[in-house]
Amino acid sequence: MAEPNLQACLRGDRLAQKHFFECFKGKMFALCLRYANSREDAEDVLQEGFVKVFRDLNQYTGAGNFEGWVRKVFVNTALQHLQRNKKSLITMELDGQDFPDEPESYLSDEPPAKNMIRILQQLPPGYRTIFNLHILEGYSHPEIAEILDISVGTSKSQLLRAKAHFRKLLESSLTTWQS
Amino acid sequence: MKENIHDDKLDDYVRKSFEGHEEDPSANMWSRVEGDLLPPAAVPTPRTSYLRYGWQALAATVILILFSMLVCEHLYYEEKLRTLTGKPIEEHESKDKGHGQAIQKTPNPTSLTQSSKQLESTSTYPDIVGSTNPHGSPTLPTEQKVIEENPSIQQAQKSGGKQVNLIDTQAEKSVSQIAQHLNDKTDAPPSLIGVAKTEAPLLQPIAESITVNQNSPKTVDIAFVPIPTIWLERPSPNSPALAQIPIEPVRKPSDWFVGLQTTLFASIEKTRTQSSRPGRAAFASKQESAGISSIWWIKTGKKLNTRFSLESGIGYQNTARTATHTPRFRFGDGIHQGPSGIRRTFNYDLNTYGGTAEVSLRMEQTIPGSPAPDNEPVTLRITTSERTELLRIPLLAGYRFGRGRFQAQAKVGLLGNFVVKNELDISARVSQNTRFRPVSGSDGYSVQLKQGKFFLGYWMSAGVEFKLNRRISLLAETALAGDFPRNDQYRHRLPERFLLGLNVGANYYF
Repeated sequence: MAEPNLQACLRGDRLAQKHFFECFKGKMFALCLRYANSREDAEDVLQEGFVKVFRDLNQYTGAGNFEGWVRKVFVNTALQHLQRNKKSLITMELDGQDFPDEPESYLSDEPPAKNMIRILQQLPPGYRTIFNLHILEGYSHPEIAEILDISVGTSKSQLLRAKAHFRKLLESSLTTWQS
Repeated sequence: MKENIHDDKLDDYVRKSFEGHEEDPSANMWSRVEGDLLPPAAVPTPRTSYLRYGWQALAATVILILFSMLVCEHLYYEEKLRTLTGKPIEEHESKDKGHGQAIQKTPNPTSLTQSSKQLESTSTYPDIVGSTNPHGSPTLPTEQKVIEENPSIQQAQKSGGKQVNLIDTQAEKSVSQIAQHLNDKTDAPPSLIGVAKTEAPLLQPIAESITVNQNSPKTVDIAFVPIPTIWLERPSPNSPALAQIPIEPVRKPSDWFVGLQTTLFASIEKTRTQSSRPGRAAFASKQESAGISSIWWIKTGKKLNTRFSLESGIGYQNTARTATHTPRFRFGDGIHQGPSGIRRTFNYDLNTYGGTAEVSLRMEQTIPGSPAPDNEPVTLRITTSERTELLRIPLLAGYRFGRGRFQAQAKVGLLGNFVVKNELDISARVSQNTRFRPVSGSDGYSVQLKQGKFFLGYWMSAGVEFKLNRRISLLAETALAGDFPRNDQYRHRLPERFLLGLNVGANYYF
C-alpha cells in the first residue's frame, strides 16, 4: 500500500485520511486489543486514537519513526481509556480473586497472537498494562513508573506477577487445546 | 510451543507471536472515525494572486509611476537647460514661435544700418510709460506712437509674421544703450522691470523689441514681442553682449533634494478582538510599554513649485517589542503527554505584530497523582519578545507655508512596509493556577511564527524647514504614522501600531 500523504492529512483531506486509516488500522487495532478489556473497548480506543492522530499530526516533527509516533499516540489513548474506567491504575492491584479459574479455550486454527490477546484480556488491567508496556512496547521500569505514577518497585513486582499469571493462563490454554 | 513458555524466553516468545500481527476492526470503523473528525481546517479561501496582492501591486505601481514622472521631468529640464545654454540663440527662438515673432539671423547690412540709425534717433525712449501691445506685453507710448506713424507695423502686426534682423555689433551697441537706460529707470513698466532685474537683461529686450519691416527697408519698425522666460534666466554664453557686460549669471539650485533623516517615535498598539480557527483557541498579545524606537531615512524629493513637493526614499526600522498574553484553557483541552494524564499540551494561535504564531505550551500538574478534572482552569501569563526589522518606503506629498528661511510644511502619504526579519520567542511563562506549572526546558513550548511580508501604512507630519543656505536646510517635524488594518492568513485581525514621534534631518538641494 502506498505511503500515506501526511501533508494532505494535515490539510484535512478526507481521502488521504482514509488512506492513512487503511494503512494503520490493522496494526493499531491489534495494539488496542492487547490493552482493552474487550473488542468493543478496543474499537473505542481505535476510534479515539485515530482522531487524536489526525488532530495532532502537526506535532510530528519528523524526528524518529513515524509508525513509532503513531503507536505512542495509540498507547496513550489506550491508557487514558483504562484510566477513565478505573480511577487510577495504581488501584488496580493484583488480587487473586480477579483471576479466572479457567482460561478461554484455544482454537487450533487461529494464530498464537489471537490466543495471547484473549489471555491478556483476562488479566487485570494493571498487570496487562505493565506487561504490554514492558514486554511489547519496550518501556523500562523507571519509564513505566513515571507513566503510571507508581514506584519502580511496584512496576517490577507487578510485572513478575503479570508474567506468572500470563504463563499460567497460556499453559492452561495450550493444555486444554492439546488434550 | 508449550516448551517455550517454560523457559526464560517468554518475553521473546510473546514478542515473536505478536510480530506483524494485525486485526481488522469493524467495517464501519472509518465512518465512526470520520464522524469524530473536525471539519477540514478552515483553509483560507483561495484567492487569485491578483486579488490577493492587487492593492499592494496598485500601490507599488502608483509609487513607481510618480517617481518615474519626477525622474523624467528632472531629466527633461536638465536636457532643456543644457540645450539652451550650449547652443546659439536662434535655436531658442525657433522653439518659441508660439510667442509671436520668428526671428532669423540673416545679416542685411543695409537694413541693419538703417535700424541702427533709427534706433539711435529714437530719443523718446527714456520717457516710455507702459501700456499693452497686441501681443499682450506692455506697450510703450513711444511704441504706440511709432506704430501709429508707421502703417507698415500695423500691417505687420495684423499679418502676424515679422522678421527681425538684429545681429550686428553696431546695432547691438545702440540698443544696449537703450536697454541700459531702461534698466536704470525705476519706474519702468513691469515687463522691463523684469528684464532689468534678471541676470542678463540687456540683450533679450533688444532682440525682442526690434522689428524690421522688409517691405519698407528705409523705415525701422519697433514692436514688442513677449519674452520667453527662460531667456531671462539663462542667457546664451555665446552672446557677444555678455562679453561686454560683466554680469555673472546666478545659478539657482534645482528643486531636487536628498535628505538624511531620522524619526524617533513611541509606538502604541491597538489590539483587536480575536476570532479563532475551528478547534483552536486564539489569543492576542498586548504590548507592555511604548518604547522609543527609530527609523533611519534616506529621502529624495522635488519641489514641484513654491508650495507643493513630492518625497520618497527608503527607511530602516529595527524594533524590539515586549508583549504579554494570558491564554486560558480547561485542563481537558490539553492533549495528553504520557499516559498518566498529568502532563498536557495546549495549542493555540497567538496574534502578534509580525503575524500569527502557532504556539504549543506544555503544562503539568504540580502534584503527581490522578489527573485533575477536565474542567479545572489552566491560566498563564506569558511574556513574549519580538524583534522586527522593516524597510519602509514612503510616498509623501508636501505643502509649504510662508517664505524666507523658515518655512512650515505639512506632509501626508503612504508607507509601503516590507518585513525583512521577524523573530518571536517566549521569555516568561507564569501559571496563574498553583496546581499546574509549565514544563521546564526547551521541551516546554514551541513557537512557529507565520509572518506577513508586506503591508501598507500611512504617514502624516508637520513641522518647519530652516534653510542654512541656498543648498542645505534642516527640518524638524512631528510625525504620526500607522498601519492600515491587516489580517493574517486565517483572516484574523492583527494588532495595529501607531507611531508618534519627531522627524529630524537635513536636506541638500542640488
